[in-house]
Amino acid sequence: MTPSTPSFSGPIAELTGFEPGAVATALEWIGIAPVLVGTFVVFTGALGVARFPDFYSRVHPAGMIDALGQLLILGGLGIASDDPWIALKLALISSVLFITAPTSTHALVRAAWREGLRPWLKPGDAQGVLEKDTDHNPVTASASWLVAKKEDRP
Amino acid sequence: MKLLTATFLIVAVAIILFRAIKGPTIYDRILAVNSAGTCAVILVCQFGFFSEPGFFLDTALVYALINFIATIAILKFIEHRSLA
Repeated sequence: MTPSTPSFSGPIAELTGFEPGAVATALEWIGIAPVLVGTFVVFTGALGVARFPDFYSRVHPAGMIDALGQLLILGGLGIASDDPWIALKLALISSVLFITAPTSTHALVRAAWREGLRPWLKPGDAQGVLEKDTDHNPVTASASWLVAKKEDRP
Repeated sequence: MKLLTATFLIVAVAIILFRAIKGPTIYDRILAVNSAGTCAVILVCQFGFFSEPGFFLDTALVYALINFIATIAILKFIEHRSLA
């Protein structure tokens, strides 16, 4: 019932180096595009995690990897697979990641905010926020933190 | 063109782990390790998709669940200084 050899051939197998075969089915040619786009999303997300200036801005590329990148790559693999059980397992893994990864990101940001970490703002933006001051606004609280830090300098 | 996507994913994990080493706060490190775990799940899925016995996908599923539980446990330990 389960054909084992056809999943060793096709363009995805050739791209990922697993025994390049002869015949590529149409579904493999359809599924190769989400895998490549998802790889691009994961790579740029990794660059964003490495290079963004702030914790709260680094959350965004990490969430992109967790939600969009894994959905594209695992969805592309699930389209390209000819075994329905493998596609079902890939859909299960993708849905589990799609639920748990934003939950853990939310818990992480909530813990960071409660511990007192505040987002990084440009000084001009902080001044603009401070002029129209509203109490208990988190952006205003962060701006006051930054301006107080600026006043410490000579 | 061989091993293209797997190479890009491994390089992405290396870049993310650079942030996990460098990160100024503890939350940067937790975020980076969480993203690296997601990349590891994707890698295990890609390797398991082309492997003969299909149990690598079960490994990826268990790894995704353990990644989530580990993140929540580390956050709880940092916030309350205990796991109770």
